[in-house]
Parts: sequence; structure tokens; C-alpha cells
Amino acid sequence: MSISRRSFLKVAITTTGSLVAYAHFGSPTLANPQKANPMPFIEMAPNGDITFISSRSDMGQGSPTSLAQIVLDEMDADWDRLVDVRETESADRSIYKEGLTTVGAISTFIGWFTHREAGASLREGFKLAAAGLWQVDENRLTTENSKVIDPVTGQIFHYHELFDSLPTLYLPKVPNFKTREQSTLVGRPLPQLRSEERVTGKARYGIDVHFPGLKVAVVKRCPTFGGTVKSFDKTDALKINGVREVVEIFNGVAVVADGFWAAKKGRDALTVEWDHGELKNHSSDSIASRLKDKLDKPDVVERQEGDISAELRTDTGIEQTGNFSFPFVAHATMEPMNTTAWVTDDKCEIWSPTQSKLDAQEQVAKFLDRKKEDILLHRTLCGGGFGRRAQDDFVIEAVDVSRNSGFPVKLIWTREDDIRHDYYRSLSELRIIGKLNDEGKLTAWDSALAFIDTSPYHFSPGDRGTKDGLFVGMAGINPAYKIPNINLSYGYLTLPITVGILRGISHGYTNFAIEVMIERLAKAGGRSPLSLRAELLAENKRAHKVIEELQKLNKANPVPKGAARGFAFAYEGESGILYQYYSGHMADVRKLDDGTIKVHKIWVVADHGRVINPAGFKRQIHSSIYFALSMMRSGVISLKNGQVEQGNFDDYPVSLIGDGAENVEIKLIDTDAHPMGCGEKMQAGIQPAIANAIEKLTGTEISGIPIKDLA
Amino acid sequence: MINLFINGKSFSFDGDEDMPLLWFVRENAELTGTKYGCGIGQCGACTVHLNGTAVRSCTVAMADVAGAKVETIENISSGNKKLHFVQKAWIAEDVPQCGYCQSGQIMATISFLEEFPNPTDDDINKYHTNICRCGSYDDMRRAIHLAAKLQAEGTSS
Repeated sequence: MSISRRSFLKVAITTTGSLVAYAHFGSPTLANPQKANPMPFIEMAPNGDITFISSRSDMGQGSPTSLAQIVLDEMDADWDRLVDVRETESADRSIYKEGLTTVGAISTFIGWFTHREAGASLREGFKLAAAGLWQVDENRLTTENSKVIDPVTGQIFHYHELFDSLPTLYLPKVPNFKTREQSTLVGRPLPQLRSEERVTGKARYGIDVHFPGLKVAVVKRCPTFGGTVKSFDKTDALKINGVREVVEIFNGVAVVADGFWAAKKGRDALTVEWDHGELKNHSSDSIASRLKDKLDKPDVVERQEGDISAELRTDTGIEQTGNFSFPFVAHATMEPMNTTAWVTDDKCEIWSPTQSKLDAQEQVAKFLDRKKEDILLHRTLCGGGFGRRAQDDFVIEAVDVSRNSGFPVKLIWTREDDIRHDYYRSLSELRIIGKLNDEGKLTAWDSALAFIDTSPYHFSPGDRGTKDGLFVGMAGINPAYKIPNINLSYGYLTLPITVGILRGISHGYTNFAIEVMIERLAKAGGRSPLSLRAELLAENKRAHKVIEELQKLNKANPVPKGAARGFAFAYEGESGILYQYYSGHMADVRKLDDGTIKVHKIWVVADHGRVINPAGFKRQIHSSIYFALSMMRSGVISLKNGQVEQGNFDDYPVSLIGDGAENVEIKLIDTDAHPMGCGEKMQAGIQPAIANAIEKLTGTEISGIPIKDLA
Repeated sequence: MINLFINGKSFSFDGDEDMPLLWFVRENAELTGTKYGCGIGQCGACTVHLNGTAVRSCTVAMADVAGAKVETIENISSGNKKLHFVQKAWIAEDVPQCGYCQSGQIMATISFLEEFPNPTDDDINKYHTNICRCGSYDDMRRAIHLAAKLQAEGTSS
């Protein structure tokens, strides 16, 4: 990964006299460092007030705060002058060199390149401007709190006094980044941005978009996946007071009305005859059974080393086979899917709570067969995301309703729409056979996975229909553990069921199964589950360190009477690449008087590289525990006759305030390794640690989720 | 014709009396701080105060609010105070993540603290039943206790 040798600072003065700062540099996502990459990062008002311009979707994960910390730290800006956050309006891939899709851990991962360089470029630009005005050598100047200081003369320029002297200029060299010791903002537990608007009701989400003449639409979609409209009768719907229009769209029939209630009543009154398609005879059980067949007939052998069949044929050692099943899981973001669209003869303007700003814009252009310059997409705040909003289905729907009805429309999904037409985490089946030899060494690992083909529905249009599109379904099948004989395979069924990314993607089931099996093998071989992991991770320093820390915590915290303890390890990446993280998890569970099982305490040890905001990082871990427990307790979407059986929080319940762990302890290993976000990454470790503790407590094998009697 | 007061202002409505109050608040009164989350009274994102008590406005029909006084998140800090003490506690504990549910959480907490001025954790578990899908509950629990303290200290607005 290289960055251009010379940075190019670009600023613009707006009509109100504010400074908008860009920095040009080689995109970290491209091999070619020569191409400039101007990205708007901040706006500074003539009085020095700063607005952070958020390139990433803000869905509560905290990365806008972290990214603002990175850029303001490097530019030596005054954090107390940061008064506002604005969503970027940039809509051109040539500017960002990427689509601003907000998934994985990439906000922090990419921001550590982009926002640092932008901040450093600005800082050096202000110094050069001041040096020019004072006629002194810029190297003797220092900066702090939005000021350039000449320590020799004691003169000071505030940054906002230098706007006119800050021309577009080439910096003589790539500015140096601050050292850890020089950092003033990175590493600090600063409070989240935008909290005040979020507690006063002033925050505007997609569903809050409003302007005169805007209509509200709800869509009747085929309850069976893959079904299509045969015919419909809109007579009764049009009789509902307030209903303006009923139009067919690509995947159903839309009722457009003056308000939500009329639109919904209109939809209730609508008669649609469906062609239910091929899935109408399928249920979760029948699909699971077909997936199980795939375990013996995989489509892809992902990795094969040593001689697995020879090793499994030997009569010595201890062999364990684990079978695991995971249901479909829905996102259930608090804000149901929605988008406002206004399609006119030559323009299309969209307001959407999306995680895929530029992809969505481009897909709309394709859908309408128009130039992407004619599509204007404003990204709004997102009421939760968890990966759901990386899909563009709800954006395209709104556009189609507006085009076909002629109205500007706000498409609102009911909660039932949201639960029944999600891009679910795939139903999956796994089988792992592991073997310890007589010395207690793990010598064989044979893993088979089957899931529903994720490729047709990949959130990134470029990956749809490709092998890369399968990553969402099989990621995480490769254990970090060093095992001499290993076989990893997977199979998939291509079905008209929309499946996609959900907080931590497939690691949620692949790593779950891996970690439960490791713990079972350790138990069967009479080994400590942590020392077995430490041994298998001996060659990976960062991973090993995480286990060492977990061992210390294990020793320092004896298991309370009546409780049982489980462990897990989670990771992505490998030595030699920047995208790496490691975490260790320990959970204590106990039985309550009513017979249910309560998580008494969870410990998390995390090495996600340099920590940008420890408070934000820990907050994501705390909240991930509630999310994990929701899923493990009741995160089940089931299909009958090709239709989802659940519809709302009454039959798809999620965690309430009393449903978390009773205690949480977190240890962050703050290294100088490249920083990574953590919002989605904790599911892969928290869940199996809890599962292992429950298996130990009850003596009954855990074979996936849901887990019975989990409080 | 149904007349009601929202945040002290008079409104009238002559539409479908089955319509939930939620949609009148959001679309007619244009007070979008009150959120739609489930439509069946499960999540509490739509919580408002109806004649002084927290209700889930998606389950209250317009027919039942004739003459009623409704308060929403936009109007809970009275006088010249910028924030209600529950809002202050929420900021002090840095509660909101995506924030979508927080109007409802705060409206529910204000009512809850009137009934349980010194709540235990068990009281909170039992009676604070609004959903936060981000799982901001650990920070929220501390904020509820802090708000109870602020209420007792009389810093309430």
C-alpha cells in the first residue's frame, strides 16, 4: 500500500465565506498512487467553527466521531470548535475512488489513510500560509488548537484568519503524521457527535423527510420469495380517503396516498393475485435438509492440506464430530426501510438512509436508464443498519413508485414488510470433524458448510453473480489455528430467497461452530481450552497475545459457584496484511431460579490495532452483547410455503434492557497496528463463548441457535 | 371533528378516526421526533405523553384523543431550559447510538421516574420495556439512575 509522494491541498471558499477543505492524494484502495483523490473533509466557518463532513453512513456505530477525531487531530484543530456534522453530498466515484459503502470495519480502516492525510495536509497548508505572511521559515512554526504559532516571535494566526492566504497548493512533501505521543484526539474517549439532536427529536432520519406535495407509499409485495404479480384490482383501494394512486412496480403493487395510514389502509383493501413461483412448496426444514445433503457434495473445496482422510482413518487419538444448524436471521433495524424519491422527466432526487451511497445512486441510474449525473442521492441518518441498508432494493422501489405514479413519494416499509422482505443472514448447516492425537495435538480438521447462494444478492453490484459474492456466506470457515491436516469445503443452493450481510456476516455461524468444536475437543482430550488455543496460535503473535491476556483474566477471576465458563477466539486477516483483528472472549453463565440460563459476565480482550476512541469501541462491545443475545435467544426467521412466518417484535423478539449480560469487562490491546472498527466484529466471538459456557453448564451439546432457556 | 392539544397548540382533525395518534403527530403536526417502529405497541419508539402519562401512540386511535393534551419529545424542556433533566442524563452518559428509539426511551423514562423516583435495577428491567436495537441499554441504565438523581435534586425543569 503506497500513498503518493506529494500531497495536494485544495480548498474552496464558499459564498458564505467558509472554507471547505479537500486533500488530494493517492487512494489507498487503488494501486495507482498518481491519481489524485480530492475528498471534502471539513468545512470551517469564518469564525473558526468546524463542520465535519461525514463520508460514511451514520447508523450509530460511532465511526463519524472516530473519523472526525482522526482528521482534527492531524490538523491540530480545536475539538471544541467542532459544532456540526454533515453528510457528504459528493456523488462521484472519481472523487472518492470508492462507493462510500459503510460495511465491515472499513470506515476506520480506510479513514486511517484518508482522514489522517487530509488533516496533516491542512495543518501544513496553514503553516505555509502563515509562514508566507510572516516571511519566516515554516519549519520553525508550530500548530495547536486551530492556531499557527511562531515560537520565536510569539505571533499567532488562527486558522480561520488564513483562509485567503491558503491557495490551492502543492505541499513540498507528504506531511509527517503525528506520533502517538503527539496525538491530542486519537485515543481519547470523546463523546459521540450528534447526541443532542438525537435526544431532542431533532435528528432527521430517512423516514422524517418531508416537503410540500410529498406523498407516502406502501407496497404490497408477494409474500412468497420470488413470486410475481399476476393481476390486481385497485377499485377498493382507490375508495379509501386519501389514496391518490395505485401503481404496479417491478416487485409488487404500490399504494400512494396523502399519508401513511391511508396508504396502509389502501394496501389492505387491495386485491392482488400472485404467481407464487417455485418456492411455494418450500419450508425452512426442507431447505435445511437440502443443505445438509450439500455437506457431502460440496461445490467448492476452499482449502486442503495434509491428508485428512488418512489422519481420520487412524484408530488412535480422539475424534469429535459436530453438526450445527443456524436459521435465517433478520436485521430488524429500529427504523424500518424507507426512501423518498422524486423522479421527473430529466432528474431523480432521492433521500435515503443507505449504507451504500454511490452504489445505490448508480443502480438507480441503471434502473432508470439515465446518466448517473442526473441522479442526486442525499444520504440521511440511519436508524440502525447492521448491513441491511447496504442493499439497494428499497431505494429502487421508491424510485419505481415515483416514476410510475408521477408523485414525489416517501416509501415506508411497515415492520412486517421489514421482517418479511429482509436480506437475511442465510440459513446454514455445518459439520466439523476434529481430531486430537494421543499427545493431545489437534491433527485433523474437516469442515463442511452449506448455505443459500449469497452471490445474486450481494450488496455490491460488481460482485453479484461472481464467486466473490459467495464470501458473505462462507467467510470465516478458515480457522486461524495451525492444523497439519485440514479440509475446508462448502456448498450452496441458489434460491430466490434474498440473503445478505448481517452484522459480522457468516463469521456469526462459521466461527461459532469452529469455537464450539475447539472447546469440545479440548474437553475430550483433557486439555485446557485456552492452552490448546494458545498452542495452535503460537505462530501468530497478535492472536497469541490475545489468548495470553484471556489466560490472565481466567486466572484472576475464579468461576463463581454454580456458574460455568466458556471461551472463544475470533479474528480476520493474517500476518502481513493490514486488515487484521483478533479478539478473545470469556463468558460465565448460571442458572436462575426459574430454570433459565443467565449470562453472568462477559470478558472481551480485543486487539483491533490502534484504538481511535476507546469509549466508542467499548460501547460497541456492550451493545454487541445485546445483539448477540437477541439472536441466540430468539433470532429465528422461519419459512413455511415459501413465506416468512414472523412479522413483528411479538414473534421476532429482541433484547430489552434486562436481557444483557449482568457484567461486562473489556480489555483493549492498544497497539500501533492499523486501526479497525469493531461494530460488527464482536458477534463472531461473543456468541460461541456463551454457547460454550452453556454447554459446560448443562452438559448438553449446543448445535447452533436458537438456544433453549437462554434468559 | 376531533380537537386536541399537542405541545400546547390546538389541532383539529376530521379524517379517519381509526388512524393512530402517531401518524397525526408525525404527519399532521409535523413533529417527527416521535418515531414509527412497529405499529403494534411493542417497541415504544412512538411513546408520547397523553394527558401526562406515557403511551405508545401507535396504539392510540384518534377517536380516543378528543380534547386530550399530548406532549412530545420536542416540548419536554420547558421554560428557558434547553434540555430536560432526562435528556441531560442521556447526554452525560452518552447513550444514543443510532438514536432512532431515544425519543421514545426518554418519554418513557420521564413517566417511569414519576412512578419510581428511586428505581432499582429490577424496577428498570421490569418496567422499562422500550426496544433499542443498537443495544445502548448499559449506558441507558446508568442514565436512568442519573436522571433519578437529578430529579431528586430538583434540577427538573
